[in-house]
Amino acid sequence: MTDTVLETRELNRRFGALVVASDINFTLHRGARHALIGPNGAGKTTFINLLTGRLRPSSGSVWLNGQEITTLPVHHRVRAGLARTFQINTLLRDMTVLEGVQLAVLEHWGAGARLLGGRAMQRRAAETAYDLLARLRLDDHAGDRVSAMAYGRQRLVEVAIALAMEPSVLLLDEPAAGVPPADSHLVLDLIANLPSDISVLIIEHDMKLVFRFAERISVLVQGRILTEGTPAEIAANPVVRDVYLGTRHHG
Amino acid sequence: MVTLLASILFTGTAYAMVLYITAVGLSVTMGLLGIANLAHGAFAMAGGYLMLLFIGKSGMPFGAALVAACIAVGLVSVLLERLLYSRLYAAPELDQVVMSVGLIYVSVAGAQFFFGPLPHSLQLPAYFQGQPTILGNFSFPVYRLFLIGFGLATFLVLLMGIERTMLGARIRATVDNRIMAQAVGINTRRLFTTVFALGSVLAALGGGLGADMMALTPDYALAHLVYFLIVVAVGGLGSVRGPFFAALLLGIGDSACRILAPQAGAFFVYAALFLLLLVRPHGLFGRA
Amino acid sequence: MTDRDSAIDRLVGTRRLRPIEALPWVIAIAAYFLLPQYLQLGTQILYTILYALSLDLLLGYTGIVTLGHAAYFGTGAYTAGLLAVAGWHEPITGLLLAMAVSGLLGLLSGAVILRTQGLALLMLGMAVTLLLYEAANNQNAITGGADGLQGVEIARVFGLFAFDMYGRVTYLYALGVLFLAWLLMRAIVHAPFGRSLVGIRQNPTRMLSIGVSVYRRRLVAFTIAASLAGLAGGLAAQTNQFVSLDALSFDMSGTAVLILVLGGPGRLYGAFIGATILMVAQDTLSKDDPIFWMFWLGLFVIALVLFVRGGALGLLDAGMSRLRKLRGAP
Repeated sequence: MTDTVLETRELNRRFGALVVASDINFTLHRGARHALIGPNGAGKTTFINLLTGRLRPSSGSVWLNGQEITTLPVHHRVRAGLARTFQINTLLRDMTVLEGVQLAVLEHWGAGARLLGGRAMQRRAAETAYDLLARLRLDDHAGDRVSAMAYGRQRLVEVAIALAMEPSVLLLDEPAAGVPPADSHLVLDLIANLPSDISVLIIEHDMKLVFRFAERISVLVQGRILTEGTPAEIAANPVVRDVYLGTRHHG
Repeated sequence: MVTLLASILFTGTAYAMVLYITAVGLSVTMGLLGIANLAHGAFAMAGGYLMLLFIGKSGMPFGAALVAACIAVGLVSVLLERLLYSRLYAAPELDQVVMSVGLIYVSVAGAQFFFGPLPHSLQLPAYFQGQPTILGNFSFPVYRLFLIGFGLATFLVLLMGIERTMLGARIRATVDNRIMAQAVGINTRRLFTTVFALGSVLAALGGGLGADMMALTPDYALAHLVYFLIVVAVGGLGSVRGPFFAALLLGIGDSACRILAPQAGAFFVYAALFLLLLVRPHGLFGRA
Repeated sequence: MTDRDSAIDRLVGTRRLRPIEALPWVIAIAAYFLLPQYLQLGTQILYTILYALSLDLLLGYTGIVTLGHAAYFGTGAYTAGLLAVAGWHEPITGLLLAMAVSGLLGLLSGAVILRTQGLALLMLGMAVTLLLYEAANNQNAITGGADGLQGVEIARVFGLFAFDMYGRVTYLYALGVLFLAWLLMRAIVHAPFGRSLVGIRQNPTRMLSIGVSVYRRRLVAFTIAASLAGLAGGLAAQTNQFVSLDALSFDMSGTAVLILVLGGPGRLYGAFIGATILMVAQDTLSKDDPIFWMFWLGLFVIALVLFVRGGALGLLDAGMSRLRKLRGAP
């Protein structure tokens, strides 16, 4: 029996008359490789924001590992094991790659608020950060300033920081967005090599990535889950084709 | 009792009109440009001092001197916007604040150099002097009545301007969403300069007309900075409507404090500001 | 040494004490012996450095732009001053009480102010200072109002050293306090907490996403900054034996910001450089012609903002890297 790690029940979000999320019942299983696709403006990033707490729902609930987290603020959800990356790089631009990841590790260890001392902790966190970067083949960039890196490489750092939190659930918001085609294999490889015990939900427009990576796909249209299934089922579904895959080149 | 109330309301409203005319430009500029221009008061001061100069040296009549001062300040503001302010639109808040503080210092020094440290007042023309009496024992200066009327008229003109003209529409669009506005082809560069100039002209107008109530001193920009910022903060950034009511609240509130509790100074004004911003950080009329 | 070791060493090694960090103290002690007639100015520079240092934690490191920091300096000054006037003349406990009271005020006001941002934050910060200024001005029976609080008498430090006419003991007293505060500040900014503040300044969203309670960290920083500002204020009250109403003025808030911009914010030593430059320049130039001084200071500040990133320290950095390029060039 696969466990449910992340779940939404009747999740709704309105801005006045505009409904951006409508009765979303979504389930993510342990170890999942789940993709969320949909046309532009379907509400995919809104959904991620509802999951992470950046946005509060108008009604409905969000559950993480069996606990309701609907009213938990963002940083508490992170501590509970839910990590995300952003559609546009949200990095500490004036720091080095190593320091950015080291900070994440320190926070994950609960040592981030330490007012004095902490030298040994910082060294250990730097070592752990470096090793993580090495596993992702980013170690030669450890000493580089984030702002000096190519955008595509920055995207990888974005994922590295999320992984430093040792999350049980990882939400990737268009990880390939803005990455030049020459570098997109880096992102693909990174995602393909994610630890199997992490449950991953990925939003993407890049269909190549989606079909290579996903075991399960949900289609979101105008804030509503249109349908859900295996990649083969989704590819064969004529309604989905009309709504989305038929207009692939607009995405 | 009634006389007291009437006095507070009357003086307060006149003061509010001056505050509004002077500060509304700051509200639109800050909302539009996102820039913290603490030196806005310097334009008001310049308007007042220039009027003084034109009336005194050139013997211009009151009205003409006012217009000339406003034009002069407008031209200088365009220069300053192109040379200085425009470089800082994308800069961090700290840089903008510090630069405007630098401008304040320069304005203080300049004003003291040319006009000396003592306060100056403008000699009002004959038709503005006088204190007619109505309702038996309540007398009020004609000029203050003029200020109230002028302020109201300015408010209505600005309101119509922002709602009905193309320029107003562009301003509203850009305040709402700058990137979108640029995407639909609004020339934000030119818009910023135009709005900045208009705001400064209004400030000069306020400074000149208001010299009767807010004396011209070299530290004018600093002395009245807080009140201008209160009008903007309480009225809401980028609005023409909000600051009007904020100015009324502030003007009347301040008058009430000065008359009823003079030893407390502006204490209650600041306390009210504090509580208000706690509950409504975007001001009474601002949007989140 | 592997790449791994060197990368880690480079990151962790920034904490290590470098010889150049002894420079400000060497200069301070040299000044004691070489410039005995300027010790009063020197003492003022010392507590101004402490005050600017406290603001740096907020402004330079955490990125909170405030024009209301004088509230905590002034509170510390009046606390220490009133304590002495009320009959308690022991200086060190006076400083501790000043720190505690300003720290408490910082905690309470910060809890409220930090829920906002942008203009609202700026205004709320200013409002606190303005409220205190009006209250102090008003309650002139207690505070002396616009004339200031007189008669702040200080007993011997450690029961041994009395504040002398030449300002020698006061200078060393201030230097000692600054040194201890500097040790504390330096430890804080290098510890995980301090580094997380830098992260908050650069990208609060990112910090939230790694599980940081941004509000709580900012509040802790605010409280520490307020306490240290109070310490500086208390020091000022004790060494001047007088508290001026200006301690709560807008000018006092603005000066601290100016000092940091001059010296370079977020670098710990910007406060040292900026305060020294500003106060020495002010002392020499402003005496003869205050208009001249204000005018050129204003122009200088504008030029600084437009053309120089990071104040004096930023200039030094740029100079150093240019030197390195020249040396390294074939």
